[in-house]
Amino acid sequence: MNELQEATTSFETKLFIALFFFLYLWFLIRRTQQSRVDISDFILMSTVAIIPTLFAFLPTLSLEFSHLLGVKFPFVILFGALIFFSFLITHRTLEKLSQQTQKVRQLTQKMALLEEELSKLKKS
Amino acid sequence: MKKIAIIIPCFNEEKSLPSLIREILQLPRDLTPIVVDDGSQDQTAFVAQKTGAIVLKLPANLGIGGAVQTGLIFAQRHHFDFAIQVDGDGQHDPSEIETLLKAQENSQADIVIGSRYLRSDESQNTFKSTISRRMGISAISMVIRWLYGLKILDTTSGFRLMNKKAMATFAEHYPVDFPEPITFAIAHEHQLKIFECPVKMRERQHGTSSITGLKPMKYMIRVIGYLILYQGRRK
Repeated sequence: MNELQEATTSFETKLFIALFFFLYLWFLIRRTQQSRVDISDFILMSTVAIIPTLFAFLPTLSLEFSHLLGVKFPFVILFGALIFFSFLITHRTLEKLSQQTQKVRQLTQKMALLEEELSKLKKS
Repeated sequence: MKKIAIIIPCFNEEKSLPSLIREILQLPRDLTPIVVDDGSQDQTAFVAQKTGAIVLKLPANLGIGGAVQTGLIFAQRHHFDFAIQVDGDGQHDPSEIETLLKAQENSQADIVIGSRYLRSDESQNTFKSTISRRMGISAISMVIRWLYGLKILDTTSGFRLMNKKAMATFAEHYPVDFPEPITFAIAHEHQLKIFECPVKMRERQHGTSSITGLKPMKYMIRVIGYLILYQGRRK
């Protein structure tokens, strides 16, 4: 019972987290609809809003998780999960960036080669 | 008659380029200078065009790796027999192109490296290297020997000849960062035969080197890291 009380968040915190959840999800949905965020990125990024909400509104769930993983405080699980998903997002972003850099490099090279061919055609 | 492309990667080399191309065209061989302008902000492409060289103008700066690869793709598509990389800053003496070609003929190597450190007569070499740079190059040389079993002294020399096989390999796989030493890892992976021959090099005609101060050490550490990574990839 004492543990559950410790895991329970105050009304103000719940309100703040709920506000963040709705605003951030609304922002993400809008961006996805505008094709500015991939659907897979949407799923990954929405975890940043979903995880704190789950922990705030379902304290028993966070307790179960902390017991399962042998962690004393449920908030450690919360931060651990957030760090994990932030790492996934960073990893994915960097991987995409590397791929895009390679594509930009290839396109830049193609442009230079095509420009040379064009100028040769113009001359002939 | 062998078709020979001289690939000149350039970034803001408007001052040194005209004399370099003139020197190349005066040689008694049929050479085709291909200037790869790596997003220069000066008149590099314009002065190169005026000399009659083929100009590949990259719309953005890709670094020396991207520039050389562009030249190699061009040379491969136009069926050149050999591609010789010559730096645009005038450090590489065009009269030594003949040395590279003769070395290739004798060794039948896929890649011939023009080396600053193999020359027995140092007095002919006007190129001066700093101690930290030499130490860095020696360390990279040791790592290449240890990891790949290749004995190369001048691991950072950009003065090199490539035959069709090497051109085809590098047109497809060319390192973005630190291309000169990393190409040895790729060459080893694709079983390309490498030969190193002595050449004389000059001081750069214009501008200053970007690898000064403690940078050679930083360069060395990063190159060694890449070489280890490539070795892991090969396995």
